[in-house]
Amino acid sequence: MNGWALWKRWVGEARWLWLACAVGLFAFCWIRVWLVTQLTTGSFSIILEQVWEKYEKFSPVPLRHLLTYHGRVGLAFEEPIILFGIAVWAIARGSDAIAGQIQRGEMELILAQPLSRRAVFATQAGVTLLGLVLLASTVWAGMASGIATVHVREERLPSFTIPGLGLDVPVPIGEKRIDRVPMRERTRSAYFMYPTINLFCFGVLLSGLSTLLSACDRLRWRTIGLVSGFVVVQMVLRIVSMASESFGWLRYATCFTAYQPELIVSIAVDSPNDVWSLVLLDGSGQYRRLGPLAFDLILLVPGVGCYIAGLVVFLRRDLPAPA
Amino acid sequence: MDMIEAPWVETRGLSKRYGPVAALEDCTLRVERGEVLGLLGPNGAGKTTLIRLLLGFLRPTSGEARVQGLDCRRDSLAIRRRTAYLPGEACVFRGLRGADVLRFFADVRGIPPDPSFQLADRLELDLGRRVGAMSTGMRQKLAVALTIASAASLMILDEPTANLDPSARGVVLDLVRETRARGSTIVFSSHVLSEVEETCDRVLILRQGRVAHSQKLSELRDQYRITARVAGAVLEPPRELAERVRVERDADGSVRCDASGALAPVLTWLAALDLKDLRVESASLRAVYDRIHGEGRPEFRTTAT
Repeated sequence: MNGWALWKRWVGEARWLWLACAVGLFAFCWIRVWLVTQLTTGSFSIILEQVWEKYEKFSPVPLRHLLTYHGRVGLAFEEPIILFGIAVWAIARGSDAIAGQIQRGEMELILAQPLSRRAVFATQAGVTLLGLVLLASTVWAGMASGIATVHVREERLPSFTIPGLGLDVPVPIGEKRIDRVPMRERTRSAYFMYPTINLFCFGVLLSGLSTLLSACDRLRWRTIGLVSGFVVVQMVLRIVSMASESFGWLRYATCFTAYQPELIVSIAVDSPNDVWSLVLLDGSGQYRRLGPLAFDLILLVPGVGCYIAGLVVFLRRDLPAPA
Repeated sequence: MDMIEAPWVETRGLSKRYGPVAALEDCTLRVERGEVLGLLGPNGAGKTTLIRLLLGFLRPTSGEARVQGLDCRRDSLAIRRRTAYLPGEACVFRGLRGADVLRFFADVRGIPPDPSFQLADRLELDLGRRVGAMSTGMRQKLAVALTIASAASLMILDEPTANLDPSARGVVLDLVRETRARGSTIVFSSHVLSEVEETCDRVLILRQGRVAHSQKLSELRDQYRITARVAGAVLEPPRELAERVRVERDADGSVRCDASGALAPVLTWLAALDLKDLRVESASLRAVYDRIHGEGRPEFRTTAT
């Protein structure tokens, strides 16, 4: 028996989907960083301050964080395109793992070979998770390359240098000067590794859930429908929980509560020692809030649990005839 | 269990129910090493359910199934190392070319792909074409090539000639015979009675989930059917013929005798009757099949209560 043949087969099947998602995510992330440079932070702050009163309850971080380049670049993780790219991979692969193969009739011939169900499941899950790691890395790479290559425009007051002291003193009169400064001097791509891990964990949850439902079913479209519906409902719950105090308790019913890229960026910038913390404490050692690791685990543990449950179901179930 | 003495395939009281519907009920059978067993029965008779139980795809509701002494559910992987299965509807990766499909399945089994290429060549299959662009018959040829090339000691072939043209059917039947000659045991499920007659040693006819009839085809070849029209009364066959002659009378006065063994004593008995005409023909699987599945047979599909 050669399990390597299965790896090659699944990679071959998934490669175009992965490539499409990767190109889309990389390009979007690069463009998203570039877009940040098209609006000076001063102009951005004017816009944001006008709507902040209404927007504040939807933001996990304070205004001052969003008015930094870290904050503005980090907002990319909240963009639907990034979530969509990850969700497409996770749901497409997860749903195909079992139900898709049964529906197409391929599982029949595969399991007629000396291949254990465990090997089929594990290689499918392995390719999905590996693809997810690489896609999340692509998101980060898109941002990192954007940060490395684009320049921000900064308005500066004219100044004069005090002879002998070498001090620049701004002059509040006269025309402002626009300077082009490399983005890498304003933020660091390393900050965005932590929300990338959070994004990966979100993908694990979705792919795990898709794989579990796929292991129970014989029709791929039903799995896709159920998981897509789950994502939409979870998003709605998140929005409602943030929009209204009286529905605040709904945040405990949605996985999006644990998807906190912007908050994680702010922690990486403001208190880098806490990026691997389960909980954040205040100065007196009292609990303040959950840390980045807790958010990751809240997404990761159920995702892995779904994979394990999916394996158990697949090992025990009857293999139905092709649909 | 002694592996050498054990039958190659054995089921005892094997049943599979889906809720109230019994797909297979109390199936007991043995297939000896090197035997070619034909599985017959209309759609829904339980043939594919039996095969899927043998491969460990399904969990039996009751009873047990063994292949070479191994339990079909617990030791499914070990069984599939020794077994090749051709599904009734061969679905392979549509995005791959035929040659890549054969390479993949050879890789999985850890065998060289050359034998499957040779078989595909014998079946006149264009391996450069993508599976998605192949006709149903071409896909069937591809599946036949990858299954038979495995040279497994047990081959389970579910309608191997379905969707094939007559010449390809002939090649596939030749391949089955050659596989048997190499010592493989074969379970051959089909709807084509003539193919079963040509290739199988024994036939098992399923009806509504139960084994309705099992017969060695060599015995069948020793049997014949006499159809006669008799003017007067029909006498019972003499005692010495009673065990090997079965007489059925129709309302129009015709008499059908299914018999085996020497023909002369039967004809002597018939000559004593007032015959109007007489026809003697060798018994066929069709006659046996019709007797079991023809109109007017009592229903015995069981349902759980």
